[in-house]
Amino acid sequence: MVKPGPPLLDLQDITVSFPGIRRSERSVVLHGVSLSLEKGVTVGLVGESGCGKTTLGRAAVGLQKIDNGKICYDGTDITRLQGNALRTARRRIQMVFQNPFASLNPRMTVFDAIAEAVQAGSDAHQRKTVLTDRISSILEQVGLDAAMMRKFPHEFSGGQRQRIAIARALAVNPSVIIADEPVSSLDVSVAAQILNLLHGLRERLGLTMLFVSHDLSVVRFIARYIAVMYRGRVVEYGQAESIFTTPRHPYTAMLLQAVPVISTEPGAVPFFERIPAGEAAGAAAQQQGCPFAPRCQYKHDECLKVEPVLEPVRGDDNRLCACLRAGELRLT
Amino acid sequence: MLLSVDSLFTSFHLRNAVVRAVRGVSFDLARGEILGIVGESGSGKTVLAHSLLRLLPSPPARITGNVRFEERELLTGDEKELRSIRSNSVGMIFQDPSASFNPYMRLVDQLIEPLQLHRKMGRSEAVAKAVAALDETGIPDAAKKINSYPHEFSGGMLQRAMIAMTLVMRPQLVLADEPTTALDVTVQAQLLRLIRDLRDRYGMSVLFITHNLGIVAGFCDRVLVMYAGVLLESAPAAALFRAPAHPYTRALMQSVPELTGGIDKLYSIPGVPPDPAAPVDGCPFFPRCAFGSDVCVTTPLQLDTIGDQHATACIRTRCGEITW
Repeated sequence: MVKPGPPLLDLQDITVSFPGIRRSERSVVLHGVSLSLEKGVTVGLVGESGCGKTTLGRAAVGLQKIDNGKICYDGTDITRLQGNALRTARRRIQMVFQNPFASLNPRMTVFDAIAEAVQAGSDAHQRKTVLTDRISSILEQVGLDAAMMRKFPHEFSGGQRQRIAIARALAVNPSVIIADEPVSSLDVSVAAQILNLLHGLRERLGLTMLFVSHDLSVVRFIARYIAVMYRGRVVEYGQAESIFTTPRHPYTAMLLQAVPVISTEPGAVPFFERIPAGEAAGAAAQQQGCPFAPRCQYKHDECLKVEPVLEPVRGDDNRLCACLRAGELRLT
Repeated sequence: MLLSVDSLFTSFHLRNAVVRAVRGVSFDLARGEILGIVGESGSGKTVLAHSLLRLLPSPPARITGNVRFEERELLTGDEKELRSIRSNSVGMIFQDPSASFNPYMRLVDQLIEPLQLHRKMGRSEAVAKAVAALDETGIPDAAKKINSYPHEFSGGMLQRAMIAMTLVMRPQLVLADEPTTALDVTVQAQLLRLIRDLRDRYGMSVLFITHNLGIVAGFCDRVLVMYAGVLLESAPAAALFRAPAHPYTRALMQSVPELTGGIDKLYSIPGVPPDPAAPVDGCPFFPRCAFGSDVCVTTPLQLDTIGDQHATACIRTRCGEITW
């Protein structure tokens, strides 16, 4: 993998598990996931529901305790920090959540909500006039009128609320933004505005972004690199453009084929007829081999025995793929 | 025609406002046709579907117009006849399958309820039918799985069970309101294929409500574009995407990011949808339209034909004043 310079945010070998149904069992949702984000780059994290993409994002901002692994910000492992040092490091990484109806306190005005974040981000107490100026400028950055700061969340539309949530994340001058499905609950034309906003902010403020989404076309627009997750593992990683044109992992190919795209070509095979029918086979946990094997149309006997590791694809240095047959398969 | 809707109006009369959710919608649905209704949230598409079967509480809802289903009038017919149509001839599939099942009841009891109630079947006969329906929707080991509780099923499996529940009655019309929105793309693709296969096999008609233009393009035979309670365009799916004849349709298509990428900025429609409680003169899209002129406000809105099955409400497009 070509990677100039050390990554700004480096997630190394992250393992997360939750208590299982029986006390003796724990269900592992992240199996040693590694992902690095270079400064100023947006990485898209895609995968189906339950694959662990949100958990990974939450772990990166410290909302989710990890069992094992390192979260390095600018070379420092922040999981080992405590007190003030931890607080300072945390400010550098902020999150934007999926549902702007749930992520804003309905009893706090926009001013209060953002002021709280600004105060948390500075060590000294801020005077109200200073705060007002600061909040006006943050609101302006996200395309909202400064006069709106006296209003409550219920007075805003979904798109405007998401702008407020972004403003709140920006209030502490972070360098990394973890955006967890920020446009999933919005209509297409509103989603387009928010995507343009995030894209613009990234350029203007030099933000590094982890963009979690199940929508591949959205990720295609915003991300330079893409990580595809399946069952708590990254199964493919590479440049967005090349992943979309030449996926190497059968799961990535399947995801791409299932996206409803507008095609005006007469006689084109509709998107819903391109993937095998029937419920995803092997929904039950499979212990050995490749986790995708039960659904994979290219599996060999070996795939059921050996678990593939994420490694560079032969003949394609810029791509990582966890598939035993990655080098030989020709997927489109 | 299986279903004919003529100037349907639905309004909600609240204490201090009248919200006009559907403001004059007319369309036909042929037997075996999949008709898509596409629109953003708040455009009135769900209210429209619920109005067809008088599923809205009245008051506050007031529904006027004509809805003819198999030559029977639904809006004025008596409640008893309507109940029989709702149960025997029409099936509904909703967005969130986990909210549509009773979590305390086994699936089997929920699936056989309509058969016992409306077809007067005995339990064992009804169970056999329900198992067959589950089987048809591709649920493996249906005879055993039917005894599960809803929480034991994944979202995709539960939506299959929901489809099975409507199928046991062999409805002629299925109203599907965003049935795949909560699901993953691969599961979504499988379910759409299932609905399409069932349509091919049984010739039922489907009214498919969605906000996803990609689904409409690949899945529906014909499409209605809805905005602020009215239809702005109606066309066969292929024609709609090849040659959209309304600025709103076009704007919607432009704001969808594409898989091919390569663009720096997405198009987004300026402004916001109109307040449904405020009166509208002429075209409701006018304030946000890049092609608007005075005629758009002064001329009453009308969906008129411009070609084979293709109709647009844009007067400037019809006059040939806008070309793309």
